[in-house]
Amino acid sequence: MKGRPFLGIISGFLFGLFGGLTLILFGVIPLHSDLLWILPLIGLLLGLTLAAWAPFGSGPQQAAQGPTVTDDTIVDGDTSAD
Amino acid sequence: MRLKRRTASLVLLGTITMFSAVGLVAPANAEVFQGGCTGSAVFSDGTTVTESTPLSEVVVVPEEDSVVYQGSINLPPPDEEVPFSGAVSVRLPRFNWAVVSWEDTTEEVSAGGTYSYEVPGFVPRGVQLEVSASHTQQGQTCDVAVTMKLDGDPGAAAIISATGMVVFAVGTLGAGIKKKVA
Repeated sequence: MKGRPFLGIISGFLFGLFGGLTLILFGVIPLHSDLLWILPLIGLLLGLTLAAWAPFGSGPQQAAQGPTVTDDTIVDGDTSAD
Repeated sequence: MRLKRRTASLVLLGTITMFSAVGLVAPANAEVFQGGCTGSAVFSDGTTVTESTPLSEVVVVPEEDSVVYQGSINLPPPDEEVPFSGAVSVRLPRFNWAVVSWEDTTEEVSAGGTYSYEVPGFVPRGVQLEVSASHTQQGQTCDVAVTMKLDGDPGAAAIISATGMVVFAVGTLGAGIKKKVA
């Protein structure tokens, strides 16, 4: 997993649950609709998929290839002026 | 990388769209009448529900009212008292919640009167409820169901729920952020 699977599971589940509740409370789907338990499962799978895929943020390889700052490259302003 | 992000955003957007699109589909028609019986309920604003009201039709009812009802079962009147039973229940996910029930003996095959009700405040307004009524007498069971919606706005609960959906949608997107390697 390149992303955050636990965040994906919890957020995805609650995203689906709140999504279903919102649809019910706005009178879009009836109270007995099976979507109330299907949507949290879809959300959970969506969260897991996103965590496995991890399309956001810079990857560890790219970060390692970037410019690195070491003590040698730091130039003290006062010293160079002298 | 940008294409990947865009695709991921589209997946989430598609999910939200699916949530919304599902709502455009009306509840499917179903068997709303079983057994030989007729019945009706008339609300004070003139709204009438009968055994032939289709399940796909959402009947908006007030949160408190007096309903004039009548019902009859298509059987010849019995010579002696026979037991009967029945209930009105609300369909919830996985089970039914009996709102009112009745049980006794009678020589009649029809009944009518006025029933006053007041829906408790915790029941959200604007929610579609499938209300079913069942009556059993002389071995014959009559089942009727109708889709109802309480008059009024869903209130703060709906706003909290919608906010929760957005917050956890962001959290779900956050799961797709690559972990930093130390």
